[in-house]
Amino acid sequence: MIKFDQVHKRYPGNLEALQNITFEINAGELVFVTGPSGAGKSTLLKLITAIEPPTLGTIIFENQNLSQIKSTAIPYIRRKFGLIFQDHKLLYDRNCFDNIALALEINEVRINDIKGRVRAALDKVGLLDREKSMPISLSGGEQQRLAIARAIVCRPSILLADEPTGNLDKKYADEIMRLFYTFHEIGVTVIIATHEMPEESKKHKQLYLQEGNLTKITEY
Amino acid sequence: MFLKALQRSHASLLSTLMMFLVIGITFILPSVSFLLVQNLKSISEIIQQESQISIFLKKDISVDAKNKIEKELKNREEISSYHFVKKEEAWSKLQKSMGFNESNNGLSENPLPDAFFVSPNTVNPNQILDLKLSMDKLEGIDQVIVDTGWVKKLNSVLHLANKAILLASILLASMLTVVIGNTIRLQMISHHEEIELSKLIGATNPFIRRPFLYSGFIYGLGGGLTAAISLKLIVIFLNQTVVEVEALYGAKFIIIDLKLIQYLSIVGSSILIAVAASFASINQSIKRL
Ligand SMILES: Nc1ncnc2c1ncn2[C@@H]1O[C@H](COP(=O)(O)OP(=O)(O)OP(=O)(O)O)[C@@H](O)[C@H]1O
Ligand SMILES: [Mg+2]
Repeated sequence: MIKFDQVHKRYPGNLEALQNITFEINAGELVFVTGPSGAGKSTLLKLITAIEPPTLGTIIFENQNLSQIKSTAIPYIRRKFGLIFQDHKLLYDRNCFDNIALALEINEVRINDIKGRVRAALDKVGLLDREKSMPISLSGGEQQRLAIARAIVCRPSILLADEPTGNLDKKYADEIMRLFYTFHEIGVTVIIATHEMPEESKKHKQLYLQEGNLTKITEY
Repeated sequence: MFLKALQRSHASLLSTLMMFLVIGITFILPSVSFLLVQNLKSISEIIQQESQISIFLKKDISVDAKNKIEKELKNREEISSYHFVKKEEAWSKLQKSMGFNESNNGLSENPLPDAFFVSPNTVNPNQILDLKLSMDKLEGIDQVIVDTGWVKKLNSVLHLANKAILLASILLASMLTVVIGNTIRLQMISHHEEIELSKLIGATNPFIRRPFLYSGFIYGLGGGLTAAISLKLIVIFLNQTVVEVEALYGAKFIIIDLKLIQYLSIVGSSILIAVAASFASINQSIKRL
């Protein structure tokens, strides 16, 4: 489903953030991308979702070469992913409902369907009673769950999460991880970038990055 | 769909009303000038139709020669009417109008000649010139004066004024483009987080553009309507004042209103300018954000 072949990424005026990366992720897998801070985890996710282009090498996603794709086709590629950003990227000028509705509008979902689907997504992450709240009034864990609701509301086949448990207590972190496991169980491909490995991760595929190099791939 | 995008249109009420005013006033300025020039033009046309030929007779003209001239005037087809003013009559009128009296005017003798005042039924300057030339040839005539010269001057001034208005309109339109473009740009900057996120989760450029284009459209529509309605009110107000003037002088002036199509084209061009300016500004910002 996703295939990296000798991919390099260099940001302008920077050392290489990723060097000679080759790996493959199959549909339905749950994959952890790990490594210390600055190893290139976020960069790897940005390459997969065509947010950044590779400097060298080829990235194949569903038989399309992302390094050669037309810029007008990129939005349609991105719609296949559910993205959870390291910094949430919630919009603080509107309530929870509208934060999630925006994703549906972007995906051209019919207006009549929007209400039901937003509430279903909020329900799935346990925030249905907060639909009218502003995101700023949510706790860190709740904001993270809101970001997850926005990522899943368009029913993507791949979920990418960048440090989804970043600065949460263990209790909340476990809650969040459980959500990802349930999505994995219903067949969604899940890719999680994280610097601290949860217990559960030992049962799944891991890509270990260090200073831009893919030093280890463990398959379960 | 439209309503949804309207909802997403990011203009605040106050700034929207301000834009209506800015655009409205920018359109009213040249429109009012245009209206005034149109009206002066039509007045000058009426005056031209009423242009007179003054035929001043020689002082020592014989009654015979005078009758001959009168007969000629009666026979000419291009003359709709004429009247004769005796020099005594003209003299006393002039004295009265200037506040003179017999004792202090310093003139012992009437300096004015007898005269015919002729109204031609044509505005064609060539025909009028022909008329003048053939009058010049008659015996006993001192001078034939066609007093349309100032109308010509007025017309050329009006022609110039029209050009000035066109130029001013172009300048104002480019000013509007800058103002609207900048407003939209600021709007986009204040929504850069939403734009950035939308792009990341799969929004196409048209989707991102749409709410800002709608803002631009609303600015244009509101501004155009503001201009059109204000203009209409100005015309109504002027016509009311004119009615009073009419009562005073017995002359008939009615400010000619703009045609419906002209009102519509004000609104139309306002929308056009606003949408075009927004579009250009959006496309510039969308690449940067
Ligand atoms: N937009 C950018 N421009 C320039 N350099 C960048 C940019 N984004 C990341 N980098 C650099 O690329 C390297 C990898 O960054 P990346 O964000 O992928 O690391 P990470 O593994 O996600 O780290 P963390 O765990 O702290 O999130 C870092 O050295 C970083 O400074
Ligand atoms: Mg990161």
